[in-house]
Amino acid sequence: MVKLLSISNLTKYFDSFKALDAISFSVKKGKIVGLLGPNGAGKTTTIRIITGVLPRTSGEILLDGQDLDPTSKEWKLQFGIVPETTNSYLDYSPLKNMMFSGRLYGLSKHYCKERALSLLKEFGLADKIHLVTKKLSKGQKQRLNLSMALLHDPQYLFLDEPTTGLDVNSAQLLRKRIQEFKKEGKTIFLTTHNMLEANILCDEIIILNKGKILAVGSPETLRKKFMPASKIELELRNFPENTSIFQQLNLDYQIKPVENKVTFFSTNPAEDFVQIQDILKSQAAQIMQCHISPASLEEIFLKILGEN
Amino acid sequence: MAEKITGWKLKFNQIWILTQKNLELYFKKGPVIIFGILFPFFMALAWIIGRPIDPIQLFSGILGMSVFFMGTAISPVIFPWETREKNLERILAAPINLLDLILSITLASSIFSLIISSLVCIVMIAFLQISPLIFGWFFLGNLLLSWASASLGVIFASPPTDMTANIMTLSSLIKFPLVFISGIFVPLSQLSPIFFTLALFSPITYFVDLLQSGLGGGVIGIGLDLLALLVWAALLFILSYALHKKTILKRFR
Repeated sequence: MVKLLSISNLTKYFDSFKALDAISFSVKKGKIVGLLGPNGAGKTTTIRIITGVLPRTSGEILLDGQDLDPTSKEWKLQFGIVPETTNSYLDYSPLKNMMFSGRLYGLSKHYCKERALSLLKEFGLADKIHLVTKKLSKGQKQRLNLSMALLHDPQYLFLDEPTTGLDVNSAQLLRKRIQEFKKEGKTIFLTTHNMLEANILCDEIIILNKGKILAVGSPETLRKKFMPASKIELELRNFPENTSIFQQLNLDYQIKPVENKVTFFSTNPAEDFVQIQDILKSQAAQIMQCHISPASLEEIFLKILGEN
Repeated sequence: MAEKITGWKLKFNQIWILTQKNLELYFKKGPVIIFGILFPFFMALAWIIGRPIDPIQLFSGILGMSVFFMGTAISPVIFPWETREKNLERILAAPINLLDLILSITLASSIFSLIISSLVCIVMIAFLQISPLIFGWFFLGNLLLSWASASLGVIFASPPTDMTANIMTLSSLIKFPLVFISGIFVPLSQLSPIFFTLALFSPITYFVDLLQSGLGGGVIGIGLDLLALLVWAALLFILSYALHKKTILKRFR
């Protein structure tokens, strides 16, 4: 049976401020879900409610069809959280932090130590186990956070901006590891401002703003729904003086004559490109560079936010 | 296969792990050393230098200050500190409830006070050549006053701020008047009826009187002193839990 986290009409008030406004979504086991939204959208509040840190005002959260108490041990053991900033104890060593965390989750001392050492080794911290955490680099601290989140082998992982501030190598390694978690059957919630990362990793995207869900779907579904047109970006030699000729194409376009660039938006780029070439030829303009690409997730995200 | 601990064993384990952490990480923090050790030390020094003080008054007074200041040293620091460092969120995301968390903070602060005050007591018994049997009453009273003081410290930390300095300032506003009305500097028997009535509103009064009664002085009596300390310890702990229950979620806005 496929495990499912199902959330319906989840609402949260902080006094009179509505932080979440009846949001609903469901997530199947083994998926990577991106929670995207500007600051204050309600991403962290959603995570805190699901993981049992904050109570909800109303709404339902079902885990595999069961309405468990989110503050119960059975519920909390399902979740692992990797925060954006390190929240391990900086005066403790990585091993001590792991032991502390694991034992809070009820792991026996012996098993906890064994698993802690294995995870620290896996995340490249084997030679740092006795160093105080404050002496670790940001990337190492983030890997420690991830190791601590995985210690009790949770089924759901919440990663809050996991690659922010990491160097390119560390970020790439972390992304690779996130994809491996998925293969292991873990469900991953990812909040990020990095749209490229969300596009690469996420099976499903949830766009939140001001406590409301604005859009849900795979990156491809969102693209088809909100920005189906591809971009045809051209750099020209002999940029046409009369740019009104582009209107013949019946396509949206943007021109930057100073840079000799023009961008067309087309739902049928192969056919439209032939027509564009014909028009440019008639104006003695030459294509120096051409780049055809679908709308990026960032553009889709901005469009959805703009519309709302 | 993960070996997991469950039930009451897990609960005791969790409280003890948190208590250990609180002791290991906080006893050497600046505010704890300043408010828990340096303050009572210099206050006691300012009191005794150049004054003829009755040994029983001196013994009970210094230990009263010592237990109270050390008991209120660690407990107010942890909530604001861990709110700022986001450790509190990590703990509450684990299967821990607020009561266990407050128990662990109160316990850590009490243990800190119990250990250091016991050392002070042993030194004073030797220095003042007082009967070592008093250590029994001291230990019993210390258990209760440390718990009450630690709970008071947790109460000070109930405003949902992450500014440790603000909490320590607030705590000083209440701690000092409590010390002054507790029969430490002026024996209870010499207080006017108004100040004597006022003294009954401080848990330190009963601890000081317990030690004085144990040494043949005192005005309230050992039984009543212990009962009053027990009531204070219970009331302040319940109040600390109730206040944090009201404010804990405001730390995550």
